[in-house]
Amino acid sequence: MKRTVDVSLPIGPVHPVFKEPCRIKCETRGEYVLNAEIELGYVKKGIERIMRGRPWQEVMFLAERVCGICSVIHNMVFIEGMELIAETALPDRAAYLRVIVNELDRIQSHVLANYSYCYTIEHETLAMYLLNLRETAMDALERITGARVTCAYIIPGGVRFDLSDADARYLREAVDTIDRELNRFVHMFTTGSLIALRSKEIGILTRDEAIEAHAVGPTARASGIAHDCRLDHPTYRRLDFSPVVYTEGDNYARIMVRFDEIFQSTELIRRCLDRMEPGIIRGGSEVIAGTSRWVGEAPRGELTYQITTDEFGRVTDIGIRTPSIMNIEACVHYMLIGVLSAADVTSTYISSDPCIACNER
Amino acid sequence: MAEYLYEKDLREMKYIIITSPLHEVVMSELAVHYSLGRQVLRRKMINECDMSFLENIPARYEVWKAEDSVRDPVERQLGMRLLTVYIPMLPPEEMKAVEMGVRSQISEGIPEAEAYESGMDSIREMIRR
Repeated sequence: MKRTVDVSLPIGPVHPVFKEPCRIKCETRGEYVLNAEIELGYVKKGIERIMRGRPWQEVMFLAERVCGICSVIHNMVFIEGMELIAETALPDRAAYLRVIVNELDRIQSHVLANYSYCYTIEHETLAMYLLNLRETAMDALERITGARVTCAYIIPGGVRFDLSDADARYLREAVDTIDRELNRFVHMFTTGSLIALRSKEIGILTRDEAIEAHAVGPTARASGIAHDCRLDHPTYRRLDFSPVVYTEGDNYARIMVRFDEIFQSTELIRRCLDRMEPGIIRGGSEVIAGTSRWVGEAPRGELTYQITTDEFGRVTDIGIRTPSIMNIEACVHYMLIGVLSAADVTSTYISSDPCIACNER
Repeated sequence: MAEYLYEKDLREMKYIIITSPLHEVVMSELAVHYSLGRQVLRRKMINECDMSFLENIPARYEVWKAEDSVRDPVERQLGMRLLTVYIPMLPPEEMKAVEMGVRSQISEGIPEAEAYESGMDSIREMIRR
């Protein structure tokens, strides 16, 4: 950021389209963005430091507090990392219940991300419809886990609560509603000519750039990278999962990947409900000293936990790599460069679904 | 670019970022490969990279490791693309000159290990600069 340019454009840390505080500094010539840099650190939690030295029973609650939007996957990846150390076997029913809750969390996160995008490009009608639809997923999540966020549903060896027949019926109705309503909203999105003007061929991230910055999740899949950590997950493999991939790499593709993944999530939930047999929901074993590295597919992409425990089950060292770290970097160093209008800076940034809470872990 | 008071020294925040457990893995591997102290590497990265870049270093390093296995041995040994593209600490033209030097030494019949070592010396010097 040393060149002399026409305009220096700081956006944030408080801005109407940002869900969380950050500051994007753009060097522009006219409205053409020459260079961009992001400044974080406004809401740093230091949660990795707080976790160290604590028993896993405390750390599992801290893990899901890294991010409020995708708390289930933080809970799941941490617990699966601990299960790897303890060599815990997971009952089948619990494995399917984990997938159901994780997919509900993905649905609400993707709907929220697309809501934010529609709001940013001034399509408030569609934005509010989407926000209303998110409540259907949140209600289903609350019914199964007892809480909307930070529900601590996944525990070592299984899950906390079983799913009754009434809950299963409720869940089927909820995913049917999501599918039906979302079809309507996707049609609005794909046929809106003004939406296309604000979204197509804007904020392009090429495949090579996405590989270079290790972009992950929908951001990478919108650039033609067919990578999804669910492909390597034992339960998802049983569900015949295959990732949604677009090749355009622009804002429009990133939003469409998320829409398609919502349909995919509802289908995965149905498959889990169909295949789930009655049975126990908790196994057990003892946490021992060891190190594990476990990766899961969060709504925003690859989430990595590197955990070291001692013989008493205390977490002696932990490293969390959240997907937003990679996606924000890809956004700032590739997508924003060459954007033709200052208004597109915010929409491009939001299209990568940045999560500052994840970054400021 | 306008200068803000609190932007003048981000070194402390950057240092916290690059001393995380995941960064430590990268630092230790690089320190061994280039025979350099971790603090020397950290200082260079802090000077050359912005905060989002520093956060993303472990991921970028992993991509380089996966990609570099198919590239030619000189590039791999010197870490050409690692130091210019994935973790851009050194100017590409200077790295290119180092690479050309190593290649010419090898073609002149100097043992590969010796040629690589002279290249590594130049890289170490550039990092320390």
